[in-house]
Amino acid sequence: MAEGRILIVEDEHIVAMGIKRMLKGLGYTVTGVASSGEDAISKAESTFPDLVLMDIMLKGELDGVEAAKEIKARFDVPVIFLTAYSDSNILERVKKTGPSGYIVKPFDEKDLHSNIEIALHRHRNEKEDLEKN
Amino acid sequence: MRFKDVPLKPKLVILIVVGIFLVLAVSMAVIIGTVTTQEEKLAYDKSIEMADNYANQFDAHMKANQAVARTLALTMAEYEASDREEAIGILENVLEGNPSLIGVYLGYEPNAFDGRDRDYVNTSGHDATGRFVPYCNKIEGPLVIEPLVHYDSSDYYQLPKATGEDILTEPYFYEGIFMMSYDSPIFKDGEFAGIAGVDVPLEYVDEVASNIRTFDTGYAFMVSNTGVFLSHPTRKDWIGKKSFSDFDSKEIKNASDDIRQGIGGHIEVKDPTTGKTVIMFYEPVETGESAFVLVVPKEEMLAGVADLRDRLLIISAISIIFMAALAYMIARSITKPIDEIVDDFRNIAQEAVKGRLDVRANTDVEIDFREIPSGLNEILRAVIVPVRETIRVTNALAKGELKERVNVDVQGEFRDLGDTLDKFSETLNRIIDDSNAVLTAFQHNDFKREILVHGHGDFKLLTNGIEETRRALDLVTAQRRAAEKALLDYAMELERSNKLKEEMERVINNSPVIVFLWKYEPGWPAKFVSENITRLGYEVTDFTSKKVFYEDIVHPEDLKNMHEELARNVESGCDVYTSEYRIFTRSGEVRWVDERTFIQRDEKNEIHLQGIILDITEHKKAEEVLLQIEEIHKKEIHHRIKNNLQVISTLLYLESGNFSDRKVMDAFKESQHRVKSMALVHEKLYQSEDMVSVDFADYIQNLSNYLFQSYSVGSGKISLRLDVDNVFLGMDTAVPLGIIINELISNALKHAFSEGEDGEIYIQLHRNRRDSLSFRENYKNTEDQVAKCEKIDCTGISGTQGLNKVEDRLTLIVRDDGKGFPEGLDFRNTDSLGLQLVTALVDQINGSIELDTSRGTGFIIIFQDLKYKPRV
Repeated sequence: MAEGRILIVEDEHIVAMGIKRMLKGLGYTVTGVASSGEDAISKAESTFPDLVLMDIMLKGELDGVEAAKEIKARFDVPVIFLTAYSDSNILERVKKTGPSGYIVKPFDEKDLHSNIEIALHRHRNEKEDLEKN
Repeated sequence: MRFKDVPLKPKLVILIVVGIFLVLAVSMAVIIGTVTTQEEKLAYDKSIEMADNYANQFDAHMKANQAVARTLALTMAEYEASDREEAIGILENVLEGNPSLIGVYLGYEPNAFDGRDRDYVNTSGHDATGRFVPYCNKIEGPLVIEPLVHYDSSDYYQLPKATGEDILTEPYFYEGIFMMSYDSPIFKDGEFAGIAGVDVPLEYVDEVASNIRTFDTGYAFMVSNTGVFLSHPTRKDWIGKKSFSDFDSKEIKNASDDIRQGIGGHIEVKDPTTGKTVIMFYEPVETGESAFVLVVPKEEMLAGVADLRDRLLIISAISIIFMAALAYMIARSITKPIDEIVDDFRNIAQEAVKGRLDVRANTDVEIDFREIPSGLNEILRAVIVPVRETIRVTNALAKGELKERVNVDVQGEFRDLGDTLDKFSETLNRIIDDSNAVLTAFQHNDFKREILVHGHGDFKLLTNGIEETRRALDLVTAQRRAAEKALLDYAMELERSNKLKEEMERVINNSPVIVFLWKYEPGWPAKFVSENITRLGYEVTDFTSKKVFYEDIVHPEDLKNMHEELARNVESGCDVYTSEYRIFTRSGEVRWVDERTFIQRDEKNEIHLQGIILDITEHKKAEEVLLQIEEIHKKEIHHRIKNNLQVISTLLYLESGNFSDRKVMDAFKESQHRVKSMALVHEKLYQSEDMVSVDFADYIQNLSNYLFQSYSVGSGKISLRLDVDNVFLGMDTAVPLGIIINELISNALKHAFSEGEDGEIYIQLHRNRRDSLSFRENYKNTEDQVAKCEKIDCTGISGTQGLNKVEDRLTLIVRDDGKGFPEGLDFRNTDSLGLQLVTALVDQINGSIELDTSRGTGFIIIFQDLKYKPRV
């Protein structure tokens, strides 16, 4: 069974519920569901997730890319983007944030699992490297 | 002669006298009537009283006589001595004691006195039988005793005997004396013994009654109850002989009836003795079986009344005369001032008729009539003022002062007079003013001023003459002016057209529209170009000197199209066409222009192109921006639809978590796949360039990967082989086809292979075309076709975006090399929802489906991309 505390950022709450169930089925702990960029930042601060699953199109001022940038900078939490968009503009912006993963909807449990596992693993390694140095 | 024509004075007198006469007559009648009634009543009362008195007096007499008889009878009843001489002596004493009697008598039954009748046969006072019947009388003068007679038959004896009561006999003559008898029965030991009676001579009645006088000639008499005269002052012969019933008179008969019944009264009757009208009063005498009658001549009784009447008549006559005199005086006092006023009035009327209006009526008259002369004076004043005013105005008019007007405020017909005069002078004034105005206008060369006021009669000659002259002059000047005006107009027209031309040029040069005239020759040399070509940085001379050809400035990419278009339009005989293309400015900048060209063909069949070009670069940019916005909107819509489908898919996923039954979970999973297959169409749509068509090769790749993952066959045991042309499909085909493919792949994955078996699923999509052009290119061509010119006007953009004209069928094959389709199962008629959906949706896209079971299971679907009209 997989381990890890995951924050879901998704403004479609039903879709968020689906993701939540999938993650639970895979054995992860869901620390919360945020529906806006601002909400995502505050929940990232208060629930200490190991990873954030971030939808790009969000309600409110901040979109997923902005929120991810902020979370990464402030709390050093890896972010995997979930999006339907394969728009090149957005892709460019996403690239600049140094994402830990990019899952295009529609996705299934396997997509989620592999992406999350890789991201968590890489992040742990990076941390260990930092500590070694 | 009418009453109106009678002078006031006699009228007044007559009315007053007649009035007073009537009043007096009525009052007199009332007074006389009342007085007469009262006097009459008095006289009657007096007479009745008198009659009553006499009647009572006689009654008293009679009562006394009767008492004598009764006393004698009672005395004799008590008499026991039986002494006949003594009894006679009593009789003698009674007779002597009562001078009013003429006889006193007793009459006994035989032997009733003393039983000794035999002793007294033929003695004095006895009859032949000796019966005691002494009759003491003084008929002859000296007192004698005689026996009674007729006692056996007469009432005086028989009635008391029979009835036992007192009686009074009818008057009768005995021995030449008229008398009446009172008889009273004598009872001895209760038995009738005889009678006692007295004779009363009636001469005494006659004496008393005949001496009675009332008024002047009134007299009285008495009658018995049967109406026989007992007395009469003049006709002594009637006494005892004549009766009331002998008179042939109704009134007397009525009176006779009353008397018999003992009733009093009075009647008016003609006296048979005197012939005068008399009132006869009768009053019964109670004891005497008689009545007292008083006769009074009516005229005497009412003498006082007549006297009073006469005096009243005299007084009335005097009053009438006096009132007549008074009426005359009153009438005189009224008529005199009236007469004076009438005289005054007549004088004034005569003076007025002679035209002298200065005379005034005398107003010093009685206050009641003062209004008449003052009213007359007012009338005179009212008349004289307008008359004088009229004279004044008429004089002024005669002197030519036409402005003079009647300026006195008068009313009614006087006003009409004044108004008529005013109107006359007004009319005259207007005619002269108007004519004057026309003539003045002549002096100023103005012949338009018409005569507005046309006179009548002689004035008409004047005004018409002026008017004719004016017309003649007007005509001449009008013709002259028309000629001048025509010249002037022409000059002005010229000037205006020049100005117009300049203005047009200015308008064009100030506008963004550049005007060209080209020759239809290679390179399109410009014959004319408007000055605002400078907008593009060129000079007019650049073109006119053929230094620059128009072709030179057109963007080389558009040049070919332009040539073709122009050639086509010229050939097809089209007159006008428009086109959009790019040109270079002098500085090399690219601008979009819209050209509208008119193709001119002259008689030599030479072709000239006349056109305008308009810089539409900004429009183009705006258009592009709009298109981009529209694209974003479409993208947004598809994104939202996809998101919603994603939500539905997630809902199905979530719901399936509540079940553990494999079949239910499968059903949810299949539904989820179907929704997913639809969501994928929208995702591919918004990823597409044109937002209209789906890159179906890409779609099939994505969908089959997803399904392979979902059915956990990603391990590589079952492989997927795709042979798909680069096909773009519209929404209407893509969604059903997506579901069809979803069902067929799902079926293959679920049923075609046994657990752990290797296999392959093959999907092929080919276009059945002879040429090699892709559908996408073909699609673009149809758009180009739309822009082509049609018919003559060449401007219409006809909408032929209905069903695609190009026969463009596609073949889809989904095949597996598994264990094959179950034998005996009709895929068109099965319980499987998946296959039901497949057949239904194949129908929807107008396709056909075939099952190929030569190796494994293969479905071959031939269909056509449907293009519906845009569903706005």
